[in-house]
Amino acid sequence: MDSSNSRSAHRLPASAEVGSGQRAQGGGWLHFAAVVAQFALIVLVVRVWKLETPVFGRVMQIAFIGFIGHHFLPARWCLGFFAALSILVTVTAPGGLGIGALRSLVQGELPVYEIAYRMLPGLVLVSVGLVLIGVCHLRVRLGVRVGLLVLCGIGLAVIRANGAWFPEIAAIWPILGSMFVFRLMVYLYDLHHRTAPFSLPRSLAYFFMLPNVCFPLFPLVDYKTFCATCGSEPRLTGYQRGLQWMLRGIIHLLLHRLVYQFAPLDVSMLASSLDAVGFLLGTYLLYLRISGEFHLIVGLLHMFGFHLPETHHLYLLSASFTDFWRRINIYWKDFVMKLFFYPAFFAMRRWGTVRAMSLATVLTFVATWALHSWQWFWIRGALLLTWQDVTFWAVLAILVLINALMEATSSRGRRLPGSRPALREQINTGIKTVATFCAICLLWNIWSCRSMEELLVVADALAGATLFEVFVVIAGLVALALAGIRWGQTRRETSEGRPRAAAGTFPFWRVAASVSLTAIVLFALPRAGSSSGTRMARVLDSLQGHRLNARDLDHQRRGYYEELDVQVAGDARWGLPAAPDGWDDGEKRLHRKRSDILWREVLPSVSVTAAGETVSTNPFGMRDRDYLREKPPGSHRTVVLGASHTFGVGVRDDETFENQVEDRLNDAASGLPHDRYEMLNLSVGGYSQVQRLLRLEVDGFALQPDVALFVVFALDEQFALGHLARCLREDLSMPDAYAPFLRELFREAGVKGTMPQALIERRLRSQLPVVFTWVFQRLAGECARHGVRPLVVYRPGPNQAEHAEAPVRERMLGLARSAGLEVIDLSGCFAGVPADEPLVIAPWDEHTNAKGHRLLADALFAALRTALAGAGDASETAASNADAEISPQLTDQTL
Amino acid sequence: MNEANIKSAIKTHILNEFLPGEAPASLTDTTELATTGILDSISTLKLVAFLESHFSITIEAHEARVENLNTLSDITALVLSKLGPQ
Repeated sequence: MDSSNSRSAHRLPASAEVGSGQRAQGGGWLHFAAVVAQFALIVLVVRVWKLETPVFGRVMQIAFIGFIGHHFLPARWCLGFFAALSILVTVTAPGGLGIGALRSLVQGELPVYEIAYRMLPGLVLVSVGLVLIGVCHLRVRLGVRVGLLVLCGIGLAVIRANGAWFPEIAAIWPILGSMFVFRLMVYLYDLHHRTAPFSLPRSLAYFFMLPNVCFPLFPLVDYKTFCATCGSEPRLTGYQRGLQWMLRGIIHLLLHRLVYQFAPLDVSMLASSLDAVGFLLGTYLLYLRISGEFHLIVGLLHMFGFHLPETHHLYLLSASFTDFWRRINIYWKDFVMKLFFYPAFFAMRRWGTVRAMSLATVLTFVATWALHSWQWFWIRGALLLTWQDVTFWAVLAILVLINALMEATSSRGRRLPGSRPALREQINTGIKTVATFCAICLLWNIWSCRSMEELLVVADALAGATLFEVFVVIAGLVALALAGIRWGQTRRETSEGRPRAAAGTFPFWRVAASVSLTAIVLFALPRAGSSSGTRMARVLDSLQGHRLNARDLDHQRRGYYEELDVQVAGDARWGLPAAPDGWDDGEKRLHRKRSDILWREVLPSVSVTAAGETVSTNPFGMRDRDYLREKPPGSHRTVVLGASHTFGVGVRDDETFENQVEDRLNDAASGLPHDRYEMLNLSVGGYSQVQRLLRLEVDGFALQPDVALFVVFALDEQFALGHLARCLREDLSMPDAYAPFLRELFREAGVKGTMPQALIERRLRSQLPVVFTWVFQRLAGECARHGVRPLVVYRPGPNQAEHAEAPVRERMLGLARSAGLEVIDLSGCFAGVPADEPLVIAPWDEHTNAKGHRLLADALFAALRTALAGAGDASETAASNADAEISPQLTDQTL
Repeated sequence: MNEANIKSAIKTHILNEFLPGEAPASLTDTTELATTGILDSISTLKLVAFLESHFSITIEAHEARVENLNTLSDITALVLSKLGPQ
């Protein structure tokens, strides 16, 4: 390992040092106690809001303990301690080991071999990293080292692309990519030019930096800056600045969740032009997650003496495209400047400054696009090659190039710190801020959209703007311009460091007070909010933990049923494990297409493995036991009409809630009047309410049921829109009884089969109440005609998103009651389950798991027992129970 | 060319090119240019082009960094190191 060659320029953190700022503030112990208290608060805030992943929560606890130890160490041990702590976390975190695991090990609850097995991915990660670092330091020419690293990279990439070869270490690839793909380039560059000191602890600390293991998109830290800013300001000032950054990161992450959960990000739900503006804005603001993560990471590094500069600087207030490029992800910009832009420019400068600069800019953006795709490969296992990505980088490159050429050929006036710009200049800044924001926002939406159709739908929604909506948008832009004038021109830090002047005037106690107060509020907010029992409680609940929003849930559902790639189910899912190969294959083998609006049906008498479990169907094409077509004398028969959750995707045949309820009804202790109870499951994955109703009419009534359980749920609105759009686009044949209603519906909404699906769905959305009313009225009417008692059952989703479900449920059940139908609302059946206990079958598949089915069965059985015990003639009951509602809770009390 | 002349030439160029309207006295030897954003990537290249043509020196890509270009003094020192002993 090379020894330091410029030690004088790069100080280690001086652990005993209390900088001049601290001395002036009156001693170190009080300051340190304040820092420890704030850090503890921030760890608690991360815990209560469940920020990022559970691994991050554990890493924060270790970092907190490590920070206290680090502070009291002699200066010469600090870097080594940080490197060792980082390695420890890298080895343990991928296997889910934390302080709790250590406690379990000591208490003998966790065997040593289990610990060793769970450390395997981390050990492989560290071993591969050590080999790569070793190659950088081989005593051979730079070209040979680069060649060896390329060979290593190709070998690792082949293994990455074939993740099934080594499933035990699948978790390490995104982390290995984030630690080494770009940092090796910077490291080699600085090693070659000797711009910084090199030693084993420095290298380990640089590559395995403590929080990196939780963040596949860890900021690209410049090695020279990493060394140069190590101990570059008084420790306590650095701590306090770090706490400030961490809190800022937390606020960004919470704002991201707010935007993600509540912005109108589903194009099919855009009801107005303001919704469309909200969609454009919300899509852009989703970037808050990245800036939040980066602030959090850099803040945490401050606690160990690495006083790195800011990673983002008020990028929403950029006043030009070059300004935007310099403010957003500053470390990345400096990385490509250092390794691509400057070398390219200096190599081509003989062709003239402007020409060399233009070519270097183009090369820099090509490199940026290619490297992003390469980074994507390490995270997802496949290169990112989409028209959206190419368009985004190409257009941004052109805009930045034009801007750069303007700056190169004409003077752009700068100001020294403290100078006040003239009014005209300020107004100009405001206008440019608005123009840049709008252009970047639009570009960002092109980058993020899932298809061109989405953009067409947004344009369709924007087209109908009212005068009031235009006024609101203009008012928002004026506010943005004023913000740009007021705050947009503040100095940013570069990856080279913060201005020396700024470092000497840090208001420790003022920052400590604001961090403490904000952290206390954030810590107390979930508890205070949840006790209020208001809409605010729902909002706060939705912000705790990372849950998919309605759009991504819908997209995941579409991926499942419409044979799209589930693995591209939205930005929010990139960090979650992907579905294993073949996960959906059984589901596809289980169905056959139909040419009518039922669209598909379950094959009779098959047994396949779907979503990890065996699925068997009976001769009638039901996922159920065998039954006679004729209802046996003395028995009571119920037909169940639902979609995939009721079908039982992801659970065994005997675990579906429908089968469990049937078993319990037949239990002698149930005290019900009939000898035998049969529940026939006519559910089909992906069926909308219209399809469920038609299935009842086509197959259900022929089975002579006494009761029809019509299962509804929160996603029924999306199911209905998707199905209706499909009917139109695929020109599916309609039964005579349905055709007049559906044709009139399509005419009223102004939709045609040639339109994009998303546009059809958006225009049909306003017609949903009409659709559900028609379905419920027809259900009531047809059941009465066939002497069947209809019961509408509301099934809650397993992702415990009460905040999102409640309004839909109220709308849906209100319409059912208005149609004179009895309602069984199961929505409280998951209430006692802790939020961190999964009720879904897998992280990549949101179907209800076995426990969820058991809870659904408990609630449905309780409600049905009451309903069936009191039932006389089914047709009479259906008519007389127009306003009845059967509640499982009420039933429990009654019994 | 002595240090004062070099510094003066650089200062004049920076004031004219990047800080039009600023009082010459406001730009001191220790005024930070790179870390305050006055010298960004484009202006750094323009400054390098000026230094190379005005002082007939060659600056390498890895030398276009903050330690060499952050203040008037840093830039002057870089030029002096390139010019060698007079």
